[in-house]
Parts: sequence; structure tokens; C-alpha cells
Amino acid sequence: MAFAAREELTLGSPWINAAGSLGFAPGGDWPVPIPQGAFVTNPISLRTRAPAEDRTLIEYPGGFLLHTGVVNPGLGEVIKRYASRWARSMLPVWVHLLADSPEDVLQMVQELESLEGVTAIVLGVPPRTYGEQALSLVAAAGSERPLVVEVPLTAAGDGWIGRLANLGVAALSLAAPRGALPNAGGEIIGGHLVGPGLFPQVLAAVRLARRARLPLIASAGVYTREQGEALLQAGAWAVALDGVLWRGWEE
Amino acid sequence: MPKIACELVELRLGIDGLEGTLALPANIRPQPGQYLFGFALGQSEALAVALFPAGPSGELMRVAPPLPSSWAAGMQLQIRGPLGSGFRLPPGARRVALAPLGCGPERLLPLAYLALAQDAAVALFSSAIPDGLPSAVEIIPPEQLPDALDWADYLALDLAQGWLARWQSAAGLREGQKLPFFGQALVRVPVACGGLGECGVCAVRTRSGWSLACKDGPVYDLAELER
Repeated sequence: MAFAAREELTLGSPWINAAGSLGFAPGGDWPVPIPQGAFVTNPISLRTRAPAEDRTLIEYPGGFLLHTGVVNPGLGEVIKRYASRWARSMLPVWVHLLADSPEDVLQMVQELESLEGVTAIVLGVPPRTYGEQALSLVAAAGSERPLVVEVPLTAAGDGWIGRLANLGVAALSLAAPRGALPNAGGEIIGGHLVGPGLFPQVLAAVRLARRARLPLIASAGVYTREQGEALLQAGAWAVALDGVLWRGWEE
Repeated sequence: MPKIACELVELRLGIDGLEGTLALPANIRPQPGQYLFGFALGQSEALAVALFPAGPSGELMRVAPPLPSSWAAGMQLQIRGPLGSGFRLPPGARRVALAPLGCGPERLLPLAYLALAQDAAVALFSSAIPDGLPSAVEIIPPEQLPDALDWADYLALDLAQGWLARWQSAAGLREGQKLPFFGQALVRVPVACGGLGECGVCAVRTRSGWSLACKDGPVYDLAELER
């Protein structure tokens, strides 16, 4: 399969927000005294996703588990509400897409094609999607825009990650893994993990994923400037902040 | 929104956990039902905590329980806010009913002070009597909340998780019967992002669709809430 040349992925600062941390459009809510290099939207699916019935937040030492159902109004509605803000944004906007079929990926990428302000597409590989299935989603995202592929940091050492560079991928984002915890009623709830307790895992994942020969974005576990700088020193191209943006930055 | 440091000057253990007193700068005065979002500096906490006022507005803000057990008096907190929409006590309200359902009454206490200041009679339907409750507030057992339908002209509820679907029966309303006066509820849901992330964990179903309690709530008109 041949791929069209994509635009170059650039950042003015290696510090960005993780998908899901700051909503769907830039709003000036960047509490960190380091410039923000890009704005990454919340994950967006083709169709509306309502809140999960059993949505919850469960704290544990070192972080918290968040189960929400990846709430979003669907790509069409997101474009209607936010495209003008993306176009006016002083920051490059990376639109994060969530899709579980190549057809959906293709349709979503095409709907974004003509929008101003969108400088990259981030394709989030859905949970429990690996190997050829994941690669088929990536291959469907044909666009002139740079493509960032986001995988859980636990996939950093998987063999299929090494094939992303050949698919024209511009960068690999290593995101927070999923986990499970009992809720107050004792029911086991799955969700994605957030918190400084993930830092050792993301640092190890960055070291492991260097063999992918792609710029790496460390998208979990960073709560301090020192942690972010350690990741950059270890080979990360950028650091994406998540929970610390909600909690507040401390220096 | 600027970040502001303030001191946790006092901490007490109450029935519902730790409650405290914050020394606030002059420009930070959350309204009843609004919250501040804060964390303790130097403690490596992953999440900020929603801090609800539990007393009259002023330089020293009494904070409703529960506060994290790792917090101690004298700690410096970094806060932002006030966040969310709070209670809107009608200026003409003269008989105000306050009722916590499944939780302590502290988050409703700022309303009691406001109501007394406008010469309203205030009834608190609660089995717990919080410290510092003004003597003018009448304490009534929670089982008598249905009596408020014949007496009050404003009702404020604090709904613990799981009570959103049951407040009507607790208030003595029959199926399909509407509250005969204006009422509001503070809906207790987990808040992670303090209005920044639109993550959806605090989503509340309303007549006009899903609403995020972190920024559009946590106080809603009772007529707007869906089960």
C-alpha cells in the first residue's frame, strides 16, 4: 500500500496535554508555567457516546481509576460546536479519534480533512485491540495531516508497534493503561488509570518503545517538572500531562 | 483561573469525617453549593478535593466533611474556584426547608445563614445536628420531610449518591406529582477535573440532556432533574 506524504509534525514546546484532560477546544486552562506545545482534544467517536451507567472514580495509593464511557457528542456535533475555536486557536490542535473499525477511521479522517487549525490526528487504539487489527485501523487513517498513534504504555514492547513507522505514522503516544478496582459496592470496575504512581511504568515504556523508531510521547504519570524532564532525557519527544492539570501544578 | 495558596487553619473530626476551616483571601467567597478545588502542597496527591462551604461566608471558611485523612491543621492548600453553580435562594423565600438525604447537613448550612439573614424561617430535616447551627433553625426529624410540602416555599436538598432516584418519595411526592414550590438539590457525584476535562464521570441526567455537575452543577433545580 502506498501512502501520501504527510505534513511534518512539529511542536513549539514538548509539553502538551493528554487526550481527555482539557476538553474539546483550547480554553486557556493550562496551569503549568511551561509553554504548551499543542492542544489535544478529548477522544471523539463517530457517534455520540453517553456516560456509562456505572461511571465512577475510585482512588488508590498513587492514583485513581476513572470509568466514564469516554463521553463525547460524536464527531459531527464536535465539529459543529468546536471547529471555529480550533480555527482560531493560537495552539496547534490535535484531534483525538476513537474508532474500532477501519471504515469509521476513514470517515472521521475525511470529515476533518478541510478543517482549519487541526494540525494532527491522534488515533487512539481501542482497548483489547492489537496486532493486525490495530494496524488495519492505522492504515485506514490516510490523510495529509500527521498521524499520531496512541497505545496503552503496556503495549510499548509489542512487535506490531515496530511496524507503525512503515505506515507513515508521525509519532507514538504511550498512554495510561487500564486497570480494575472494586467500587464501594464490591463490584469490579474497569477503567483507565491516572496518577503519579504510573511514572515508573511510563519511563520504562519510553525506553522500551525507542525501538519503534518513532518520536515518542509519554502520556501518563507526570506530576512534576522533574518527571517530565526525565522522560525527555530518556528519549521522549514530548510529555503529555493528564491528572496534574486537574489537580493543579506545584513548584 | 489563578491558583491561590491558603492555609487549613483548623481540622476537626465530625460524624461524617474530617471537617476544617480555611483562611481565604478576600476575593474568594464561594456561594452556598459552589465549591473550591484544592490539594495539599507537598503531599503528592493525585486528585484535588472539592471543598464545600459549611458555614457563613467570610474570611474563615468552614469546610464540609469529608476531607482527606492525610490532611493536618497548618497545611498549605492550593485552590482554584469558586466553581460550579450554587443554590439560588429566592429573595422572597420566607419558609425555607433544608434536607440532606443520605448524608450530613453541612453543605446546606450556608443556606441557613442566608435564609435567616432575609428573615426567613428555616427548618432542617436532619437526624444529625451540626456544630454551630444557629439556634433560630428548627431541627425536625427527616421522616417528617413530607410535612414541608404544606409549609415551605423553598426546598434545598443535598442528595448523596443513590438518592437522585428517590428524593420524591422521601419528600412525600406521589408518582408524577410536582413540588408545589421552587426547590433545588446539590447532587453529590465524584468530581475529578474541576470543570476542565469534560470527562463525564460527574454526568447528571437532566430534562435538557446530560449535564456535567463539575461546571453546570452541582446544584440543579429539582424540576430539571431526571432519575
